[in-house]
Order: sequence, then C-alpha cells, then structure tokens
Amino acid sequence: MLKKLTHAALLTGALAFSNGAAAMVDRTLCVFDVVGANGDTYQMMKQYVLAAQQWGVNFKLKPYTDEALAKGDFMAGHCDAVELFGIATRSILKFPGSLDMMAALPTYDGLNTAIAALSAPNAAPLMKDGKYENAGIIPGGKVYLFSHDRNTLDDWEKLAGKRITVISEDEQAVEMIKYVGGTVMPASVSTFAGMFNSKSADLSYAPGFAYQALEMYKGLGENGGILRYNLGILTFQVTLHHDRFPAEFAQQSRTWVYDNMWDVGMRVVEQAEAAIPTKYWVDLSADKEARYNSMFSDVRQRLYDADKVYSRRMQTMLKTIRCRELPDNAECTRDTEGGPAI
Amino acid sequence: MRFSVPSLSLLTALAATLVLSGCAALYPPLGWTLGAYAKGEVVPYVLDENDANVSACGTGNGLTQLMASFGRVVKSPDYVLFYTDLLTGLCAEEQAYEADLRHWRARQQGQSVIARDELLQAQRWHALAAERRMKAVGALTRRYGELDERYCPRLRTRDDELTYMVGLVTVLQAVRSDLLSGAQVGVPRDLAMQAMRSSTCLDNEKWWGVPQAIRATVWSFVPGSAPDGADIWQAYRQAGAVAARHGATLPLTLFALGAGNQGRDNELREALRQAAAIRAAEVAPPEPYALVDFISRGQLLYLSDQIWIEQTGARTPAGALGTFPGESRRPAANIQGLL
Repeated sequence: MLKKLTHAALLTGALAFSNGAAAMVDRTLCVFDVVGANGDTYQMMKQYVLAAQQWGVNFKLKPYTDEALAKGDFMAGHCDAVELFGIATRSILKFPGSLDMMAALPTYDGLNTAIAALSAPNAAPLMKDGKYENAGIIPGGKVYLFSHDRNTLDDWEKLAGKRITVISEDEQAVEMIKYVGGTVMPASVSTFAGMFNSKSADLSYAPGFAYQALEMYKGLGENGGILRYNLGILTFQVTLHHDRFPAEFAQQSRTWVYDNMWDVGMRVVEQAEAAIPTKYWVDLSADKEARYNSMFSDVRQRLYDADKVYSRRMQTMLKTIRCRELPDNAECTRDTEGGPAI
Repeated sequence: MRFSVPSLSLLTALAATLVLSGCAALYPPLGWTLGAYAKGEVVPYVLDENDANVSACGTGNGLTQLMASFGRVVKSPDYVLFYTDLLTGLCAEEQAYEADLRHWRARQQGQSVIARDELLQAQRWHALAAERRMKAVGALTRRYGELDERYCPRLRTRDDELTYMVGLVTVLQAVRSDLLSGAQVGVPRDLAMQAMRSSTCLDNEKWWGVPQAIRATVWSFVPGSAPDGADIWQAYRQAGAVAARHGATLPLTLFALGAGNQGRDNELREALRQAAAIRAAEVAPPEPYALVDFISRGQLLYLSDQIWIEQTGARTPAGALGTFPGESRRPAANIQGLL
C-alpha cells in the first residue's frame, strides 16, 4: 500500500511541477486585516497562497489595516486580488457581496450552505461581473449589537434616539437605524470601536472578535451588554481582476476555499466568541425575538423594494435557506424578498 | 583597620581547611534538602505545568544529572529521577518524531536519499529515548520493586499510584522506542508482559481506563499474550469509554498506538477521532494531568501527522486532530434549488 501511495505521490508531484513550471505567474494579493500582518485573516491567507501555487499563481501578500485603502488599491489595479469584508465587496461584486445581508442567516450552518452554493460550479456565472470575479468566501463571524447600557437591548424600540455607529458602505444599517429612529454615526472598520469606547456613540454593531481585538470591553464597562441576536454574519471575500489569472483559477479557488478554509475561519470565530464573558450577553425572550425578526424582515423588504445596492437574487436565496432552518417564521409564507419560501 | 590583614588571612585559612576536609560533610544535607525539594515541589509542579515542552526538554534535561549526582552522596532520589529521566526520554522522542516526519515527507516527495537519512536520524533519537526510558524504569523499580514480583507494590499515596501508572506506560514506551530504533538498545522485551501483569495493581476506573489500555496494548504488541477469548479492540473501546468519562486521552493514545502497530487503519482513526472528541468536550481533565496530557498529545499528533504527511506531504493542520485528508468534517450542505 505504501509503495502504491509513494508512487501516486511521485506521479502527482511530477504533474503538479510540470503544470506549475509551465504556467506560474506572479500576482499580488492585498489583504485587509484590522490587526495587520499578524492578524487572523492574514494568517489564513498564508495558507491560501500555498494552495494557489497548485493552480499556477505565485501570490505576494500585502497587508492593509485600512479597508478603504486596500479596496482603492485593488480598484486602481495595484493589487491583482484583494481580500475584504463582504460588505465592502458588494460594490465590486453585487451578488456575492450581498451575502453579509442583515439578519439574513440565523446560524453558521446556514452560512455554510450559502457558501457551498456559491462555490459550486453552477454558480460560476453569478460570481463574475465585468472585470471582477469572486475567488472564495471565509466565515468572519456573527455581528452583535454592543451597548453601554444593557437595558436598552431587550426591545428594538428602545433604540430610538440612540447614536449608533455605521460602517461606511453599510446601507442596510442606515436603513435599519432610520427604521428604529436612531441616529447614524458614520464610522469605518478602523474607527467604530474607538467611537464606542469613548462614548461618542451609544451603540455599535460588531463581530465577536472585536471584543478583544478592538478592546470593546473598555466601552462596555460595568453596565454594558451585547445582544445575543445575530444581526448578520460577516464574511471575508477574495476578489480578482479575473483577466490576470488562469482561466480555471477562480473556480478552483472557490472550491478549495470552501473545502479547506471554513473550519479554519470558524475556529477563529468560535475562539473569539468564547472569549466574551457570559455576564455581557443579553438574551431575548421569544416574543421580543419575534419582534426583532419582524423589524429586520421589514427592513430587508425595503431594501428589496429599493433594488439598488443588494442583489435580489441573493436575498431570495438567503430567505430560502433561512426558512429551511426556521420554517415557522411568519415571513416564510409571505410574499416578501422575492416570494414565499415554502 | 590595623587588624584587617591578619583577620583576612585567618578567614582564608579557615575556608581552605573547610574546602579541603569538610565539604563532603555538607553534601549529604544538601542532597537531602534538594532531593526533598525536588520531590515535594519540582515533581508536582512538572506534573501540573501546562508548558510540558519546558518540562521535558528544559527541566528534564537540566535537572537529571544534578539529581542523579546526589546518588553519590545520599540514597538515590529515585522518585525524582524517575520523572527527570522520563522527561528526557520524551524530549528525545520528540526529536525522533520530527526526524521521522521529515522522513515521511521526503518519501512522499520521492526524495529517497533524504528519506533514508532522516529515518536513520529518527532511529538514533529513538535509541536515545529508549536508553533514557530504561533509566526511568530503573528508578521506578528501585523505588517500587521489580515488576515481576508476585505481589503488588505498596502504593501509599495517590501520587505513588500515578507515578506507578505513568511508569508502566514508560515501560511500554521503552520497548517501543527500542523497536523503532532498530533494536539498538536491547530493551528486554519481557518487560512489556511484566507491565501488563503489574497493571492489575491499579484500579481501572480510578485511573481513567489506563490499566486496561496497557493490557490491550501488550496484547497488541506481544504475540500470544492475550488470554483466550480476549478481544483487543473491545478492551480498548471499554478503556476509551472510561477515559471519556474522566476527560483523559491517555487510554486512547494507547489504543491508537496498538491499532497503528497492527496496521488497523480504521481502528487507528477511530482512536484519534475519539481522543479529539475528548479534548474538545467540556469535561475537565483529571488532576494533575498536564504531564500525562503531554505524553498523550505528542503521540496522538505524531500518529495523525503520519497519516496526513503520507497523503498530503504536510502535517495535521491546526485544530484538525481527529480528521483526515480528503474527509469532509461536515455533512454535505443541501444546495439543491437555491440558485
């Protein structure tokens, strides 16, 4: 058996070498990571770079701590590929970028299903638009609402009049804050935590990893709280200037990223969420949760009607996944976000 | 100040007299003190120290010769020496495993000359591990009696029982290290059978299923050692069930070693999966467990790495213990009708 394995390995190695030697190209992958080259995302991308060599691309990684700068350099053509949050990707590739839709997927299993669907070969035409193509999606964690005052969290109507940070390009958050009667505090991925901690904002939405990485415990203090309700799930998305890559590269990459990076991403997510002390979590009663669900359903429908920034096709797909998980939700039989899901 | 010069001379003369004739008298109390300190403080610290690599390659390598030297002036501090030798054995084995993994990687890449050199390097380290482990076994038997005696040793405290249990595992490891070295050391093979019989001196439930796993391991390594009707894999599974209740992985490590030895790939994977499940479960590991965990973790990772490297050329990815190349960790997502 060993002999066979060795023989197979030799053969595979020889094939990989001959392919690679014939077509290896040097490319730059710009990576946004709030922490920089030592951050979790950057570390994940190191694994990705090794895999990309199998498909004929030799990536040079370039770290960015400013997401707008990374995106700008990509759009200007200085980066051949870029890794950004899904929210920032949306204006480049509307369909995959709309995956980080507000409160669209209740669980990580739902996100896994969505990424599996987007990474399958039959989704390929939807993952490409103009010069750009998606090359893989990694989970980045659920987004929660952080508040200085835990008592404001148990009912969305209490958010009226509150100052809430909004990351640029996140139109859905603006829509939601308008809906609940709050005040939008414009911020960026790099500034929102500072605004929350200095109390120039009352509330911020943030993924679990921000608690430690961005020291949000400073803003939570003694009376703060984090609502255990999923406002959305962040994703890290790799986008390419596809004409600079081998023809099969993007699909090979999407398949590999789904097969290999889901667990890597989820481990980081789970560790970050486990680091949040139990005392900060605020749980909703069933009826209050139903009210939040209903509010978000209305907000998503408004975005669907507006049909500007979000992909309707993505919204409909996310509703289908959501309703497979929670078929008893009132929205599932309603004609919202593209029609009934059951 | 006038008297300072004669006083200094006097002191110097006194010191010289002490050095030349009296220091030997100081050594025994120093030996007793250090021996007692090492037994009372260093060993418990090592048993519970989470950074076991420091214990193995730092404390073990650093303290062994100092502690052993006190055997020249006071009764040999065998209890402490057992642990320091055990640690140095682990340290050598870690080097052996690294060389062995490099050998597998070179083999996977078709680099046969490098593979052969790494294999020889691994064998050297395994031989050193076997020698060090035999020293540990020597310390163990000096303290608790020979393993082939008719009666069980007097294990007065829980620490004695723990030491004896770890000692029996060390006996098996000494035999295995020698086998892996290409029999360079000549560890007596009957030690394994003796360890198997001695394992009945320990309560299986109290010691996390390890005694039963020791017996199954000997059955797996020594032909004809299993009693009539004994089922090795059933015995390992029973030991594994006890281990899971206690949050201990050592019995699963022995299961994996036994399965690997018999070439039972399915059972090897079963053992690694179960060990990973125990590590991921919320059951608090038994106390003190850090050293035992280190012994266990090193073997588990090595056995897993061997599978990964053989198939992919790279060792087990972080957090992937209990999973195997090409094997999905999740059920396939239902993507029908979504697009």
